[in-house]
Amino acid sequence: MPLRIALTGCRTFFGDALIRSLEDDPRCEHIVAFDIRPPLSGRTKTRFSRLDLTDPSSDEQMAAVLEAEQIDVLVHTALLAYPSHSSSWAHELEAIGSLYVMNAAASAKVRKVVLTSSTAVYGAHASNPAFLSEDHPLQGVKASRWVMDRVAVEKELARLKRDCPQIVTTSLRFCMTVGPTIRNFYTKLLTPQFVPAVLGYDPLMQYLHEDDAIAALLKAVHEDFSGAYNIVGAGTLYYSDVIRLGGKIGLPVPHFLGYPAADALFNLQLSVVPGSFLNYFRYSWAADGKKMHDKMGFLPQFTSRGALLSFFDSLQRRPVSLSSEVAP
Amino acid sequence: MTAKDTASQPPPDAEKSLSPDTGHRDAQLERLISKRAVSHNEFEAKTDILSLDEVLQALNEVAGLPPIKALTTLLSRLPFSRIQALVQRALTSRKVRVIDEFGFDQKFLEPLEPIAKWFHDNYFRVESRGLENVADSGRVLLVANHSGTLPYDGAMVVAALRFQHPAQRRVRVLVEDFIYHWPFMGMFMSRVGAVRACQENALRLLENDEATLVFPEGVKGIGKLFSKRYRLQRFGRGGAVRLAAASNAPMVPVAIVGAEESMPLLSKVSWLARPLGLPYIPVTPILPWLGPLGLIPFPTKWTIDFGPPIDLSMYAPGELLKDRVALNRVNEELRAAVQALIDVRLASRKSVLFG
Repeated sequence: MPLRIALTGCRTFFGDALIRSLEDDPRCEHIVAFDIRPPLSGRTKTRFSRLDLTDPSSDEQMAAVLEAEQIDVLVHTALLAYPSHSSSWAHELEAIGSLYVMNAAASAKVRKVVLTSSTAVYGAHASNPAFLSEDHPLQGVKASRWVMDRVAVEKELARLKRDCPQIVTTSLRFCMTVGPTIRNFYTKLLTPQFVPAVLGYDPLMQYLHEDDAIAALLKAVHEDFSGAYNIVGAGTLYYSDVIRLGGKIGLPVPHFLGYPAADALFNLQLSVVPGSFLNYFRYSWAADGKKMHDKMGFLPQFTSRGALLSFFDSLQRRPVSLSSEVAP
Repeated sequence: MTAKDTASQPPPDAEKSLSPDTGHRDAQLERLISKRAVSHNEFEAKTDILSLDEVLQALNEVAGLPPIKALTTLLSRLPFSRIQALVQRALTSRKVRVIDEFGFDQKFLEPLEPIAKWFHDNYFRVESRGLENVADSGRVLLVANHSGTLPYDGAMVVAALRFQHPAQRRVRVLVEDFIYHWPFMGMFMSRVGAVRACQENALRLLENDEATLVFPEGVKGIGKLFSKRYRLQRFGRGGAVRLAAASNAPMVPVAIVGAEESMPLLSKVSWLARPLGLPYIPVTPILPWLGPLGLIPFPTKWTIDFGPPIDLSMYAPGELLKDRVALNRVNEELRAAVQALIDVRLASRKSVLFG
């Protein structure tokens, strides 16, 4: 039976990629795309429904659409790719918006909810094991509102699972996703010639290629996997090697200077890295892909190193202006 | 020699490899190719900034000159193009360390091994017995007593198995968390192959069939005062036994004697240690007073005894993981085994410095 799929955030990377591959997929009957702007790549199957998740009545609007369209699978991708400078708006959109999404899913009785989460929700701590498993508590980093909002999203999903056990809830925790076309916080960090680093710390980093992320997301949409899954590329690299691989120059800052300096620059809107995120350059937060491999039967095509090389090569190729940026 | 001459003569092999397409007759292109080959050669051959001979030669030339004049002459002779080439190569090099999943970098460890060997052979004159209790391959959990203020004992067990064991086994050491809070320390430890002590990591190491060294006493053991030397502290919460039961690895008790006297801990400063994230700040006869020199241990004579593996065959598989009382009993047995090895060695020891 062909699936009827709804997704939130059709202008995010994952939303857009999902629409593009589902348009050509015979297993998909139609797609409902929720966002404040219409999708870029929808064709015949895609229907756009305007929805602002910061609107307190959005759960009702969304539930009505979900019920009218008889949606089977809801994919929640309306999450920010960057730490926002207006953190209260970001909190409304991510944490509270997810509450509305889960409420709508519960009242419209969708069969499955898939969330594109991040392994950053485990938090970067000195006490982390070398490979974090899905059972590890979602500590986040208390000072980072971006990460804590993501943790709140995960908690909303867990609450939905508790309240409506008949709904299959899947949380795909992607590690740092890079690639030729995705542009997010992690790619922005590695784009300039000078890359921030913390003096005396060299954590092991883990990357995932965007194609693998999309493949995993499609697999989770078409097949049922309940629970959380780390989606990670094979192998880890020292952060200094990541910098070297891209031909970048690391700027090591002592950690006691780094936090206030990064916060100051972030608050002046001169950088994308809030000071609280510096923990992620100090301690390893690599996740274990065993469950992904064993239970989900998914194996990424790119290793961490391969994903990074693909991204760095795309930086070399990148023209002065992209056609999509020039087009009105 | 013109381009025509080279084309008419059969080129030697070396040249053939440099310009594979010598078939064309375009003189300009030929010149470009040869020029490129030369610059490539130069780049390969002269990437050292300065060879020692060149430095000595330059120093000889400026030997008689007044100092300022000598300095300016030397500065003017700096090979900027070569320095630029070197920097360029460093920046464009995409070489990445070869590491295992815990970040162990063999190339980083290899130059350090002779230092450990010197300390093992000549400084502490480590005498190891019972090495046959550690199999040539396969998983094994080494359980040792921890002592000596600074963790030189871990390094010496690693060195003993690396240089004395017939299979030259590499040992992975489990280390305390606080190491990773401090800059450079955590970086160094993970490059030499140490792993943060927790059940998940240790289980993963044992499942990879590594020889894994644990100090179940932890900070309590290494930070015990000199007056309590060779009296084992509590063995954690039985984590070592749980590991052995979960991974089915043999548990080998290891007794290190001599480390206690190499750095006798007289007192601990804890009020200053807490804000710095350290478990304690040690006070030894020399430590705060001589500055960094205080980190040098006394050259006591060390012995390392590897006992026979603890027999867990009377417990059904998985039983120890469920039965906490039995687990604690085995933990106490393990502690008694290490303590017995220490006591035997202490009784036969005549001198701290000469064994």
